[in-house]
Amino acid sequence: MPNITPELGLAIAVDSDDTATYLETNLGGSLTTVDSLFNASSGHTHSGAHQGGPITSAGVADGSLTNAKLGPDVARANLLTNGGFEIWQRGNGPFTGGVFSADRWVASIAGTDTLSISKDTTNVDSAQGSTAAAACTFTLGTGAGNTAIIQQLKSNDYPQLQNLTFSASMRVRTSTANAVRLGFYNGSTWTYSAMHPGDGTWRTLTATGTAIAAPAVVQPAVFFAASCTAYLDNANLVVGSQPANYMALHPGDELARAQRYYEIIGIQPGAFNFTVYQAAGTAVWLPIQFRTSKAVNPTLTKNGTWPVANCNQPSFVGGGPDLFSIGATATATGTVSFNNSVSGCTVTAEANP
Amino acid sequence: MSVYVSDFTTTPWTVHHDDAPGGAHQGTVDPTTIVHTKNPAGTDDHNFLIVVCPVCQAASTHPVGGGAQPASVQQMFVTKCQTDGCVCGQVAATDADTLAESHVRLQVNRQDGPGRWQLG
Repeated sequence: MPNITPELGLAIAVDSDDTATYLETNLGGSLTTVDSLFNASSGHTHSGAHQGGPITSAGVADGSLTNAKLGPDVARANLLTNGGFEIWQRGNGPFTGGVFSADRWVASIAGTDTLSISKDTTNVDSAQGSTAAAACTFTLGTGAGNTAIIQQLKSNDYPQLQNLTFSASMRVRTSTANAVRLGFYNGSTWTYSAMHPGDGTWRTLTATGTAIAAPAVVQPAVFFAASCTAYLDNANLVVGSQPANYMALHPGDELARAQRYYEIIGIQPGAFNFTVYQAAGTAVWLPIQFRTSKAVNPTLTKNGTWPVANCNQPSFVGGGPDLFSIGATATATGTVSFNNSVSGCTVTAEANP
Repeated sequence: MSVYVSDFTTTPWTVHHDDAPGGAHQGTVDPTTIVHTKNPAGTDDHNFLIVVCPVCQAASTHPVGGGAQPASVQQMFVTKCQTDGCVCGQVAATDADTLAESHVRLQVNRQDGPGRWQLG
């Protein structure tokens, strides 16, 4: 059985059918040799890469990688505001009832269920860089799994939602099995993730759906079906059939997003001071521009009793998505002043589309 | 969310203050204490109403579009307009309720655009 082609590692043998047959003794080596001979004769080159080696970018045709091929660690634009549950402008809670807690996340309470939500800086998804999460204490009543924490994307705020496929994801931790799942509403129907298994670890729950034409709203929501304590963190909503891991924006960008819907003016006591000489019975108005234009005309709330001199408590006039005016009427001719030097004296602007 | 009316069915009205410093609370207010803001000229502005929290005196100025609480705020404007007429003079207290609702709906559309109307 001579080795007639030692370069290719081939040999000829005659077996029981009396037919001479090539036997390979080193298939990988023989293919490499053939490949080299082909390159030498044709001028073709692999730049050192051979069949079976790693695929480099040069080996992938431009524009050929589809969304369906992407892994969750490929960062994509998150459509949610405060998906990381890092911003809590309304305070740390606890929040109960159908109210906002973390910015843009609103609870919807079904039946006699109860849900308490607080900011938690201990039980966080630290593997993905989180510093805050939503701690939820849920007690099942007659809600039958319909109590939820939702972030709505309304078409009058997001006008380009229709017909797109969305994938939602959220990191959830609970020790109660079959208590928490993620849902996605496409404007008509819900799709759901599997239930969290209740193993006490952070799990990524995902749900995908395609928005209907002209939806009034699309929204991800986390639903509670059994009494439990659950922690929510790092939610993401991306265009495409493949969910993506949450990746934080620059904190300035994330705060600007949140302030499109809720903004506090005068967080630092004493930062707001206004003094002017005014005739008796006349009003003076100070226009203030919001840091971020609001989604709709906002509600303005003056909190606290402001220190004033020679005027009534300040109030508002006019106002729109981009600015408002605060002012007061002089009691007598002279210096009018008001300020927020007392803690809790702020103005909040809230615009919920 | 702000200081807003959560129940119009009985007088005085029930109001909630959901994002109050220190925690949410609620109380009742006489509807007549809910008044319009003043224009710089001193006249009433039919596009804004002020609700004062009976617990902490925080005052929310709501735009007719709804601001923080669109359904509740729009209902408040409609109910006020049906009861008192509109300060702009276009609707009288004796006019049909549907005229008041149409007037407020027009205000909402002008302020926040079509699609903002939340009432049926």
